[in-house]
This record gives sequence, C-alpha cells and structure tokens, in this order.
Amino acid sequence: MRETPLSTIERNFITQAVKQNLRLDGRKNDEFRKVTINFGADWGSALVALGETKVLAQVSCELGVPKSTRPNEGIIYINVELGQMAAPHFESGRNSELNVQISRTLERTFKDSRCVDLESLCVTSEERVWLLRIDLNVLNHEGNLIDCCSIAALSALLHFKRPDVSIIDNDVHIHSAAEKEPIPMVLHHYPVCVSYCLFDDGRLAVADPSASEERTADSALVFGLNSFRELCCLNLGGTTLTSSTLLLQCATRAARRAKFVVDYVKETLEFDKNAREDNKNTGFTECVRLNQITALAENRLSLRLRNFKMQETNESKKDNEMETSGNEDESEEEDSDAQKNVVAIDSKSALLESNQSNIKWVPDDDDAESNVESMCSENVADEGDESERSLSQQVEKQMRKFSKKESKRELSRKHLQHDASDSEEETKVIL
Amino acid sequence: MTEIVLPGDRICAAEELARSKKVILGPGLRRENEQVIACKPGRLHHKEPNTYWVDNHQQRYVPVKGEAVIGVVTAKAGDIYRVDIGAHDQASLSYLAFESATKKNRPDVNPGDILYGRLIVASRDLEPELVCVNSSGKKGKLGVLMDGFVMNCSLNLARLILRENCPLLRELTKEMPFEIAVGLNGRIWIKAKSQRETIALGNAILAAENASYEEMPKICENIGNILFS
Repeated sequence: MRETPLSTIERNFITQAVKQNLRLDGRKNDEFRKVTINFGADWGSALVALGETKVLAQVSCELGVPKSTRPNEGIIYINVELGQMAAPHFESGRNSELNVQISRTLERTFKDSRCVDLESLCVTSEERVWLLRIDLNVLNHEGNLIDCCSIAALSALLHFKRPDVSIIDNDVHIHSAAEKEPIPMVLHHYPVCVSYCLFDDGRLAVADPSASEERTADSALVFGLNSFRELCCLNLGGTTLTSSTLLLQCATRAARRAKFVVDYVKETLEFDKNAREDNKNTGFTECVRLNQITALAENRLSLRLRNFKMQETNESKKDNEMETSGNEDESEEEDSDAQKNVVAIDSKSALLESNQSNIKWVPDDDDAESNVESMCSENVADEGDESERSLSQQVEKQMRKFSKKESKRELSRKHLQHDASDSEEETKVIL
Repeated sequence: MTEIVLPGDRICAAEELARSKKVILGPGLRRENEQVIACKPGRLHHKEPNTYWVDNHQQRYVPVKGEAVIGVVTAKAGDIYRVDIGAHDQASLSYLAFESATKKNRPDVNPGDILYGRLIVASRDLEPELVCVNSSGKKGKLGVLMDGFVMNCSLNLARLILRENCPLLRELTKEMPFEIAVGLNGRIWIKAKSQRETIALGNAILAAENASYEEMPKICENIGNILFS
C-alpha cells in the first residue's frame, strides 16, 4: 500500500504551528512523549511505548564461534523488523532505507560505544562465545522510531539473563534456569538515543517528533547519549543549516532526557524484579489486565490542544451537588489526583461506560511534570557546569572529526584534481 | 431503539417485513436466499417504512457514488489529476471537471493540494472518478481547499458530524468561528482564525467520537474554556 501523501497545507500548518511553539498533539517544542515500559514473563522481552509508537524487543542468545580477530569476545546482532504492522506502507522482508538507518544508529550506540561487556560473554576462548541477538519488532509507527527502539533495546538487554554454563571434559553444558540461576548482562553504561527535528532553516529544534513532523522537518538530529552525559553517537540527517549553539543546546537537553529515561528504565526494572520476588503476576498478560498496553487507550487523540486526559468526573459531580456549583473547578482539581489511579486501571471500560458519566478534560499533570523536567533551562546551572562543558567538548569533537573527514575528502579531491591537471599537462606535453 | 448485531446474525425483522413489501437493505446487511444477514458488527438501524442498515466503526473507505470526499492531489497525468482519497485505488479527476474550465483555461491545481470533490464513478472494478462541479456546472462548495488543516478520523465520526440532529457543529459555532469540510472518506478539513484555534477545533471533533449527543455541548464548552482562559 502506498503511503498517504502529506499535503501542502498540512506541511504549512505544522511548520507555522511549530514557530508558535504549538504542536498537533498538545506538546511544546521541547516536550517529549510519555515513555512506558512493560516487561514480558520471559527474560529479555520488553515492550516500550513512546506515545503511540510501540516497539517489542526480545533478546535471545546461543553459543557460537567467535570472530578470529576477537577470539575472546561475544557477538551482538541487532535486528530491526519494520513490517506492515508498524504502518501499512512498510513492506516486510525488504531492507528499506529507514530500516538500515535505524539498525546502523543502534549499532553505533550499543556496539561501537562498547556498553556491553563482550568479554563476559566468552565461554572458551577461540571456540565458544555467546551470540546475543536483539530483535526489535516495531508494532506501531507514530514517529521517532529510533528513540523507541533504543529504549526497547536497552531495557531488554538489562532485563535479559543468559543461562549459566559449565565445562565438563571440553563439553559445554548449558544449565536450565531451574538448575542454576541465570546470569544477568554486564553493561558498563546505559546509552539511549534522543532525537530532534529541525524546522525553520535550522533555527528551531522539535523534540521527539511525531510521524507527520518527521516528514515535514528539514532534517533530523539524533544523539546517542548515556546517563553520564557521554556522547556515543551523533547523526545529522537531511539538509539544513544548523548553528552550533542550537546543537549544543539540544545536546544538553538530550543529555538530561537520556538520564531521565535511563533512570526510568532502572526504576521499572526494579519494579519488575520486586514483583517477581513477591511471586506476583508479571508479563504482558498482567499488563493487559491493568490496561497498560492495549491498543485502544483513552489518550489516543491525534489532535490535542494540551496534554489532557478524558476523565470521568461523576464522583466529583456528586460532591458538587452538595456544594454550590460555583466552586466546581476547585474540587475538580482536588479530586483529580485521587481519581487518576482509578482511570489508569480501567480506562478501557470507561470508554464504554462514558454514557452514564460526565466527561471532563483535566490537565495531565503526570505527563507534564515528567516532560517539563527536560524543559526548564534554568536548571542547567544547578547540574554542574563541568559536565555541561565536557558534553559540549564531545559534540565539538564529533563535529571536528566530521569536518576533518570532510576536509580530508576535499583535500583528496584537490589532489585528484591536481593529479588530473598534472596528467593533463603531461598529455599536453606529450601531444 | 438500537440493537447491536454481529456478522452472521439474522435480521428477522427485515425478513418479516419482506414477506409483505419491498425492503431496502443498506450497508452492513446482505441477502442470502430468503435470509437477511448482517456482515458488519455495529448498531442496527431501521427507518420507516422499509429501510434497514448497520452503522459500524470503520477506518477504511470504500467509495460510494455521489459521496463528497476530501483527497490529496498526488500527480498530474496528461489531462487528469490523480487524487488520493484513501480508497483501494487513486481517484482520477479530469481538469475539465472544474467550474468554467476549458481546454485553454486549466484550473490551478498542483500536487499536494487538498480537494473537496464528489464521486461520480465508484465501482469495485474501476478506479473512482471525482468531479469538482455539480450537475449544473457550478462549483458550489467543491474545489481546492486553501490553508487550514486536514485530519483523519473514522468513517462513522464523519457521518456522525453530518447528521442533521447532531449538536456538535452547532455547539462549536458558539465557541469560535470556523470553516469545515467533512469528507465521507474520513477526512476533515478545518480552518479557524489561528493555529491554536484550529487545533482546538480538531481536538473537540475527535473527542466527540465516543460521546453522546448530551455530552457534546460539554466537550465544546470545555475546549472553549481552555482556549480562551
């Protein structure tokens, strides 16, 4: 199926709205969507949702032969599946440009940054190592696949446990989980990708772009960062002018976002671990019961004025009947905190029952707080100038590397031209 | 009174009526020999004297002759434009199907433009064909839509908005002035004074998807309050 073309008026609308710090889904330019992470019952399976973008990651491992150049290191494969389930215009089984771009960016963030301790994956040197495979299945594409895939890959890697092995007479015996406790992965640092889209000739950066924004934007900017504010990967796609100040500004914001995301991943991991220890139900079936991952969630409106939640307020209405109707709004706000939990648990049933209840738009404070965290630029000073400076140095270094490559290329081109002209001269001489 | 039917359900009321007089079966219903069977899940509707149909939730558009739709021009191909209307195939639109268009006086339509047109050919074997004029050669409300914003919605929301007794648009006009064009292919073009108002308008319309008629004024009022507070 062909992708629905983006019309000119949609393009114009998005670019103009971005200039006024407005976005279709109610966010500000530097706001991110809400991340939710759910872990499966199996080790190493995670479902990550970034707004409506959803990615299912599964880490698996098998024993294999190491590369001859690195005989005592395990091997990681990253595989991204972009099928028709993600969006109807994707064709499964064909390596599209987007697919290659995502897997290459992820390889740079996870493999080239050497975050996984590959030597711990070695069983016997030169003979047997663990081959790790990260399968990323995109379930829904609503923009910013790279961020979502990277978070999914990281959380699945952290959640994964490989079976223990013992070597008996040169024979490798793999223990099942019942025999020996599986071994968690060793990660030196936790990298995630944070992407921006540039609008207005590179003057405006929009965080966590949606699908239509990605298609409208002049260029995309992807930072791979870990929680120590170290840059693992930097990718500038598309063609636009960029200023170094904007780049650095984005980098510092992205670093803060990366830290937030990594902390959240750790938090959910801890939660999952505790649930398992308490022998509670874990896995996706439990998430379905709690209505955390179902497709038809309440806040799916593609056009939103602000981050608002549809909320049943029949309780507050009852309260108000006793009071005077004048202070309706106040009690609304007071109640909203108490009710939020109720809505989160059975928001799906609320859809069906909405006839009996009174629906109100209530500011979604949860989202706002988590997102605003990355917005307030006044906090920059508090977080220590040194780290800030180091980050900017890293970005500059990357840029310099890039420009060096460019200049090298230019030089070589010049040389070539030189050679060409020389040879021309020679030919002239010969002639 | 509305009844929920599932695919495969027999509609006995329609069968009863068919014994005495002719019965018209609308979308979602099918006749198999002497039986009337639902082929879509949804609400069964009946209109006196003899019409039955099923109103269901659907995202995919199947072209129907005479319906007004919104499409995106994808290409100029010789003397026709190709228009994406979200159906199985792209629709064709002759450049002569505009008001006062002649061979010399071509309309100014470019790829990427949004069009409001009416389907005159809709068959499952042929590509759909659009026109931007009515039967008397006037453009009426049809033609290229300038500025504003286009959003996608489900087909039943588009039908819901256009229903005569639906209070949504009436209530929204109380909050702000705006222009709207509803395509039955699940695309809605809206234009308000500012970007913010346009987004608010779209928000209110999409929020009405699962709302009852009584709730719609509340949604509109809320949007208005947020917008102007």
